[in-house]
Amino acid sequence: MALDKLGAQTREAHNAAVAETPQSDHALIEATKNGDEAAFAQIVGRYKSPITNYLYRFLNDYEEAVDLSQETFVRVYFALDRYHTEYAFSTYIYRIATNLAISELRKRKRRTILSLTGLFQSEDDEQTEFQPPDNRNRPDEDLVEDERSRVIAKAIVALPVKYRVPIILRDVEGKSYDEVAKILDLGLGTTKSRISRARGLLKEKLKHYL
Amino acid sequence: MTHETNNIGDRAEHPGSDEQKISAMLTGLKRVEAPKNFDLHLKARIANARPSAYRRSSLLPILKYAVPLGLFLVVGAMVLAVSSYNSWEAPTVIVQAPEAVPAPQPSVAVKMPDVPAPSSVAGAEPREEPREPAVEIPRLASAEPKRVTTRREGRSVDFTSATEDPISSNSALKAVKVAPTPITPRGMLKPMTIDAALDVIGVEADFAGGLWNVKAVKSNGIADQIGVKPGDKLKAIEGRQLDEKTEFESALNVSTIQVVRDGKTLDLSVRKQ
Repeated sequence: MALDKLGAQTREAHNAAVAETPQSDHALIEATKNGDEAAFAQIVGRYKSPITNYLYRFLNDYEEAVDLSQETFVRVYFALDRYHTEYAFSTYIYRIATNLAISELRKRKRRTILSLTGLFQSEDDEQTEFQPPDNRNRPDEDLVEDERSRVIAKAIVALPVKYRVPIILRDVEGKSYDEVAKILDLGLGTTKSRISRARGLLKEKLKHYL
Repeated sequence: MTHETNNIGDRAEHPGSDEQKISAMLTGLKRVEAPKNFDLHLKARIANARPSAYRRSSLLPILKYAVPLGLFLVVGAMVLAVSSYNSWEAPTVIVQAPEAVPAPQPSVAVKMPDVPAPSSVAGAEPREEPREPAVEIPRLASAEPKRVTTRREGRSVDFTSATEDPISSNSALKAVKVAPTPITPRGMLKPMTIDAALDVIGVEADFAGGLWNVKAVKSNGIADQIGVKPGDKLKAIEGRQLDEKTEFESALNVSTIQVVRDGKTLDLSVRKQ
């Protein structure tokens, strides 16, 4: 009898602990695969701000960062079947966000080239798009960033992508070297040297603030 | 979260260095948050999205390798087909003199038998060949163009030869070009047996003691013109040592024959007129 009571108490304690312990990413993903929308909402709640912040530092454009952050979650949602649990979910989602951001940068380059071709168009050819004013709250405008922060942000964006991505993941997002290497699918040595090189480049740009 | 626990240990590298200061500056940047309506917009986006647009086609990775491989195979097959077609080309060429041009001398006509060991030697009646004559080479005195007929896969293509045939135009040489044997069904030329070759040059001989003993020589035949006599022992034709089963190329130009006569080896060749 005593053993039965002990077993029951242990089970209760375990259930209580499970109820309090937040579910792991993998568990939430499995639940989402089984049709639990609330589990996916938890995933979104867990990662929406880190991903938005990461993309904001990458692109230095809050609107674009939010848009790409949402696109990242849409891709995760529709590609849950392809997700393998051998990688940490954070590695997986940061990798998707990184690829989207790099694609966005390429699109921007193309747009720049197209806008240059517009110089040769006549005025009659120009078509002005109707752009209604955006009355939504702009959290980036709400952020009180002093001059120093803006200079640092500009210096980060001015870095080449191969240095920009690892240093944001390491120093802004606080990922370990190992995680950064996994997200970028690089060797650990390469990752460390790129981060070191990025810091060296930033040191030259930000020497007045050191 | 996992990344929050992992980054603590790695932070203390190069304390006090410029790299550490840069790292601290970046870490100290204010973090932006996702907007409040993020979830709402995301739900709408997922609801309006087409799942097929986000699912990669399972055929794409296969096609990525299959298309170049297929192209490579097609090109390889074409190259093989072209090369085999070129190697097959061994048409029988028949050179005919125009009828209006009279031949000043009797032409040398060589007919190749398709079966070995015929015995039409000197004085014998010319046999009826079951197959069409392979080559007829007239000796032309005039410089008029000749008609050359090429047989290829049962089709005949006539064209006019711009130059004279070097063999027939050079009256000094009486070497005779033996026509190739008919093409076998597989497109390969049959090799000529020693019996057939002896018949072509006009010699009747027996193989004994490792040599071909000439019994009779066809008058006006190739061997006769070269100087082979009955009693000679044939040792080589065109430098090719003879044995019981020597085979020759289908197209055989006979101009030299090595014989043993009275114990001496003689190299006989075409006599100049």
